[in-house]
Parts: sequence; structure tokens; C-alpha cells
Amino acid sequence: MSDLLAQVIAQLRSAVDRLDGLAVQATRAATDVAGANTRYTTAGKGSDHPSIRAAVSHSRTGADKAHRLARLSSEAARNVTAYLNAIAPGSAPQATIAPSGPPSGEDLLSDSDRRDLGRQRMRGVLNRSVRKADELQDNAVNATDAAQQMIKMLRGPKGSDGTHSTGTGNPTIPSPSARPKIDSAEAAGNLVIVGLLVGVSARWFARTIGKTIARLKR
Amino acid sequence: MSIGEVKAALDEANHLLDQGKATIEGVGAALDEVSGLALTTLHDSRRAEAEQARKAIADAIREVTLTLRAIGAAQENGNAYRKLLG
Repeated sequence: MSDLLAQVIAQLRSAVDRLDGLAVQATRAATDVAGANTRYTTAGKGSDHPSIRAAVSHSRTGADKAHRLARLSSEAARNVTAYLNAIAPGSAPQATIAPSGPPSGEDLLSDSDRRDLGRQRMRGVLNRSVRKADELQDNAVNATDAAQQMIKMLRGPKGSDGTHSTGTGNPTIPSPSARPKIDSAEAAGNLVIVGLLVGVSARWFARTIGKTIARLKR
Repeated sequence: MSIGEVKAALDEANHLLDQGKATIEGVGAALDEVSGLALTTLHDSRRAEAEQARKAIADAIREVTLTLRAIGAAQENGNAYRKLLG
């Protein structure tokens, strides 16, 4: 995962969290404004005065607008989440249906649970990348190990001191804890030695065949 | 309902609207920030999800203004009525 993508994901995830939080705040404000509407309605009972009638109707509108603001905020959070899932699957929690009306304590709890889950998933994605990189490194090390075993076999019986058999030709892969650290320079050296051995044996083979042919011709 | 109770109810309504207004103003400031942050990130994308997110954030910002306007009008009228009662 590139740094830039990780940065974008982190930014968008923080945007999702904040938008979710703003939806909760807007709902709280809507509850306050609805409370004011109730007070105005009670106070204006039996009065036709335009001021109190206007106060009742505007406070009703205000509460509706605040609710709409809450809905739009969670809608924006869901859309950003959907975008996150589109550009980096698994980086954002699955969008859930926004609760209508004021959020209950349970909603708030499940909301924070959902965020925790999202964080865990994000961590999963990052860990998986790291694990892949580790596997790649392991494979490289295994390859150099195998090359070393082959060199030992080619070098002849003096190379094998009884710790492992050369008969099967199946190199045993040592446990990760016992695996020696091999740097690339050494690995390159090993490959050069393999090349030389192959070259020498090829020459020897060609010369032997040539001699045999010459002998047969005679 | 006594006149004292009506006055108390109007005062409570005024207080609740103050609270709601402060909260919505906070939401508006945060939305501006989020919009700056998210829109620069979503800006280049032609994906439907990015388009919808941009639209929802813009709509929410517009709704902040409308909510504050409604709250202000309610408060103004309610307090005018409260003044009439002395």
C-alpha cells in the first residue's frame, strides 16, 4: 500500500468519524429546538398574536432543518465510507443504515463499536501487506538456502558432515529461528559458484565425450 | 396557565434555542473543516460515491445556514412576545 493511498484513507476515515459525530450533535440540537417549539406551543395556547405564532412555526422549521442536517451528515459519512470501500476494499466498515430519530444509548454504543471494527479491519489490511512482504522475504531466503544446499551437494561428500543426507536431493528447509541471515552479496556469490561449477562440469563432460568419440574413431 | 408560567415557558424556549444555535454553529464550523479536508481528497474522483459525498456535504453546509436562520427567526419572535408580556 502506497504512502499516499494510506494518507488518503486515513484522511477520509477521519472525515467519516467526524461526520458521524456531527450527525449526533445536530440531532441533539434538533431535540433542543423541538423543546423550544413545545414551550412556544404551550405558551401560545389561546393566543393569536402573530409573534408567538411565528415563534411556533419557525421553531418547528428549525427542528426539522436540524434533523435534516443530521441526516445529511450521516449520509455524507455513508457516501465517504462507500467511496473508501470502492478505492480500498476492507478499509472502511460496511455502511449501516443511519438511525432515524434521536440516537439511543445503544445506537451510540454500536456506533463506537462499528468504528472499533473499522479500525480493526484497517489494521488487518495493513498487517496483511506487512505479512505479504514478510512472505516475500522468506521466499527469497528459502531460495538462497536451497542454492546453498545445492552447492554443498555439488562440492561433494566432504561438504556433508552427517547432519543432513545428500541422497534424496531434497534440501531440508531449516526452521525459521535457525535460519542464517544471508545478505544479497553472499547470495550473488553463491550463484556465481553454482555457475562456475556448472561451467566446469560442462567442459569436463564435453571433453570426455570428445575423447570417447576419438577413441571410437580409431 | 398563569402569566408567570407563560413567561417561564418563553424563557425556557429562548434558552433552548440559544443552546441549539450554539450546537449548530459548532456543527457548521466542523463541516467547513471536514469539507475542506474531504473535498480536496474526493476532488479528483469521478466515482459516483465521491460525487454523492461531495453533494451531501454541500447540502449539509447549506442546511446549517437554513437551520440557523429558522432558529434566529423563532427566537426573535418569541422574545418579542415575551417583551409584550412585560
